[in-house]
Amino acid sequence: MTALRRIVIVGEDCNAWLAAASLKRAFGRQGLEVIVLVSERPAQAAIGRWTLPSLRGLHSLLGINEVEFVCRTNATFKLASEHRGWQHISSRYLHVHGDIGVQLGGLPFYKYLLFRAVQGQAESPEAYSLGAIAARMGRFARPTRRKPLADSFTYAFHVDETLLTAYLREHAAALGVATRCGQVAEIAYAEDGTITALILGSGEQLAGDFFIDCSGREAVLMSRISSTAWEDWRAWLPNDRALSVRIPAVAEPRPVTETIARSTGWIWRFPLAQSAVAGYVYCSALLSDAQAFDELAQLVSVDDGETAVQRFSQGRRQEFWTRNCLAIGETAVQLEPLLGANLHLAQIGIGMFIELFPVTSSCRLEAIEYNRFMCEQADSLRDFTIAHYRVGTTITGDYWQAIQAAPLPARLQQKLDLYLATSRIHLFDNETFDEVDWAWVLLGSGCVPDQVGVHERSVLARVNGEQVAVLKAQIERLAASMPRHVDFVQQHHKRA
Amino acid sequence: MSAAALAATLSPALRHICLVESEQIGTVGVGESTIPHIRYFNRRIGLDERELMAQTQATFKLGIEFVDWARIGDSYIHAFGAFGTRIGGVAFHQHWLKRALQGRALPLDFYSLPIRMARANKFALPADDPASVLSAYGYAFQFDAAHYAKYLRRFSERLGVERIEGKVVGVRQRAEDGWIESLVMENGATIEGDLFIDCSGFRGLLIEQTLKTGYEEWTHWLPCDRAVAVPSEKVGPITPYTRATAREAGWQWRIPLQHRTGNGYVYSSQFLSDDEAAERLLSRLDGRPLAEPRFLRFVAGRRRRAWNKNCVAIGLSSGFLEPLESTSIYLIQIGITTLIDYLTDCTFDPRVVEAYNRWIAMEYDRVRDFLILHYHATERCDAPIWEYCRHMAIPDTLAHRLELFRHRGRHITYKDGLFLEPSWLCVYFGQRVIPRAYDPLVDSFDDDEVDQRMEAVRRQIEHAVARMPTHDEFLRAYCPASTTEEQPRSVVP
Ligand SMILES: Cc1cc2nc3c(=O)[nH]c(=O)nc-3n(C[C@H](O)[C@H](O)[C@H](O)COP(=O)(O)OP(=O)(O)OC[C@H]3O[C@@H](n4cnc5c(N)ncnc54)[C@H](O)[C@@H]3O)c2cc1C
Repeated sequence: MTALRRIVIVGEDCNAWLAAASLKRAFGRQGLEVIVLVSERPAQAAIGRWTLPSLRGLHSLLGINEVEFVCRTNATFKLASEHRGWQHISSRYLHVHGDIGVQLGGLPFYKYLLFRAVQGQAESPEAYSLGAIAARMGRFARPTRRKPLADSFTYAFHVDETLLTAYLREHAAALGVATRCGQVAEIAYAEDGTITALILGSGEQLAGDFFIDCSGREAVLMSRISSTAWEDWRAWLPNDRALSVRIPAVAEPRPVTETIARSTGWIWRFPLAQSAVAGYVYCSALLSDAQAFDELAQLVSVDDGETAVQRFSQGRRQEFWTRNCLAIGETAVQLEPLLGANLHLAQIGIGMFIELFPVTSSCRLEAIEYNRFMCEQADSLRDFTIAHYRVGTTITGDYWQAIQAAPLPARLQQKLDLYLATSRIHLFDNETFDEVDWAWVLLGSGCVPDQVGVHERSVLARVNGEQVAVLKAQIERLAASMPRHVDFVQQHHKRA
Repeated sequence: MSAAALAATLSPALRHICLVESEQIGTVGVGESTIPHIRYFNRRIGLDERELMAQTQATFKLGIEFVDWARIGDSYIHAFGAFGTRIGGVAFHQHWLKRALQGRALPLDFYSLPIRMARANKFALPADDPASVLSAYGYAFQFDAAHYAKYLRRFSERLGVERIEGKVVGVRQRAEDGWIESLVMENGATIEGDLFIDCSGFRGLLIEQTLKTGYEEWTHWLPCDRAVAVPSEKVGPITPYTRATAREAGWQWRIPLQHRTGNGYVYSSQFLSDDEAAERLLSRLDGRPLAEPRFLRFVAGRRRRAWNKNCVAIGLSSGFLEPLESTSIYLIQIGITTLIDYLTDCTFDPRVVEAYNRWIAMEYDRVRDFLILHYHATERCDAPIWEYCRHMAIPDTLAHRLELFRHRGRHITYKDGLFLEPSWLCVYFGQRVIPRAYDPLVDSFDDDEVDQRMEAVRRQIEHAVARMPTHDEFLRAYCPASTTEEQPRSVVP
């Protein structure tokens, strides 16, 4: 029997169901009871989202079948993000979920590209990445170890948010998660400040040993618990609105999330199996919702599609876990969706809670450790998001100039300093994104370091250009042999 | 090590490497026990391991036996390898812990191949197959550090390093910014350079005496400040591990080489006089002493900046952490390899210097915390030093780590820096830091099934150890000490 017998989760977005299902699966056998309190008025969510490859790990953890998942969520596959206009009007680069080239002389391939770029022979990494070429060609297949290079990439998904939430909810229910309906009117505390029960609008009491707040921005529980200060990220990330609209399906959907930088934010677009979704993330002080809608309408056909607007304020809670209450999702961190990492962060948060599942009714030490770990994770995602606005950018205008002027967070400054001085990409503890992810963004944005280290220079000077050319051709052939993404997706939907 | 690594990896990019040393001053001359990372270093610069071992009277090291640390009569081995393998995504030790708390566990050691090998005085090289239990350990060397230095000297000279014998008596600095311009030798010669690597030992000839960089002292956490060392006659069998025995005012080391045994007593001058220390050491040798005892003094801590202006301190000049976990050579290695990775040119960009210093400080701090754990997690109250250490305030980083482990057996991992989970586990359990609870996920598994998997691991280890040759046999066949000084057969990196 677990030290906690009953966990109450407040919220009804996909994070809530994910948390409920994961906890039930981990501890259900030991009799843990998980109850989700849904309100009658859910907060408005975006119409769709893009994820990170890590979502696939969750599938195996929850026992979700991927084919079924793809069908039920109207999903398409994602090999990359394409960032357009972030440096100047015509700039575009891919950030692929995958490798760049192969190791050369014990060094990652991107070093070779940096070495050449320093010498004034900059070249896009895309030609050396199977994921990139496939993305550009609109092709997709799952990675496989059967052929060389064919496992040099991984993939994520584009999903319909409503369908995803419904699917996870169904999954949670099948695992034995119970649901209650109601609003939290009041909270009952024990003497030491732990929550003993939620008193609902109906007067009913919902008792529990532990409470998870997945109520989003509203932070139904967290906002009432004192000492849960908020760290503000708006100096670096001023966007506070996200508009999303459903748009007609595109003819030849690429396995790519597109983002397009605008004068006060950025527009995005991705395909779903039966439709597509577009959106605008912007700063409401500089752009009204109506203006945003008009601007979006000029780029995509938004006629009488479903629309949604979310408000948020970028930053994070200083403590995600306070006494017997834990914040997951937007209650804990509000970060614009540029990286597609929000579900990932919730997933990490839930995973870490399972790893630190209380062993006694006091969970002081667990909370300290959890907060240390999650704050590092969240800050590193913040930093990577900020980097997209700061590297190689020459865009002017109030919005961009204000962002450029804010002094960087210390760790990001250190990372970029070392990179610019030596071409080394240093990862700190607990970062989600890898060296190669940074390489995609740094190379893609044309942020060339001053120098490559002496040692690496001497290794890279010996690289044989022919070997590199062969690689390029090999990747092109391999990409051309992959099925069209649209066919791959449709086949999935037929199979189900 | 610095000259060899620079020459092997950076020539011809570096025009000229010049090494200055003085026979008159000599070296510290102790330091014989290493950790597995040295093998990466040797490989990176292209040394042939077998030849190196033969040239340095080397023996294999699977870990360190700690005797009398938590309580008198205790013994545990911190070995270079993990306990079992994860079961169902949960750390092996958590499954074990459940059984231990129920009073139905076999000793944890039974699930560690290198510990079982060490206890049986056996040795074999790890298997190549990463999936096999037989590959899940590492090894290091116990060697004659003076021979290692000589070997590296021959290696370096062959790669074009110029060695200058003589004493540095003066240092010339650039007027405008204090950068070092040249060294003035006793015979009046001057040696100019772009980058000066200070390997002058405790004195920190350049980094401290010249540049006044400053030192962060850690004596309040690591009170030992003296050592007395003496070699003794070899006694068989040669153990594939170093021994560290806690004593009345510190601890004693025993490092078996092929031809002799190295011994020393690391102590705190606050609690023991030099004469007493020497006397105690000599009375506790297991073989006849082969020389007069040598005394050394030090202060635990680290240079505030390992890299200052155009000078990088490597080795004892950059700081000192007592040899309890044989980390000094590792810290030298990290100092030099990180320098090689970060060097771009001779302008020494402050952004690079800052990053380097942060890195080195992090390495030192993490090793420091690990060492403090040995002193702090004790139940001994038979001597003032142990009383002191048991009650002293420890760094916050370590306090949190220790508390969380005690609470539920959870280890906090980090990406960079020395000592991974298996090391911390060995020391926690060995020092009787026994968690009060285990990971609740363990209860979601079927007990019998886990029991069977644990038993399978144990049996596999038992069988593997039974088939291995003894350490002595292995040494004789693999790398018997050579009587001639070979020119290093370098493998091109
Ligand atoms: C008690 C003890 C036990 C140890 N055990 C271990 C161990 O088990 N494992 C391990 O990894 N490490 C151990 N160490 C550490 C190890 O001994 C040192 O890391 C190693 O000796 C390297 O020292 P160094 O080169 O920095 O300094 P030193 O050995 O002091 O060398 C200094 C050099 O600088 C030269 N020099 C100094 N001043 C001048 C000058 N004015 N002019 C010219 N030349 C000069 C000297 O000639 C000498 O060559 C131990 C250390 C101690 C004190």
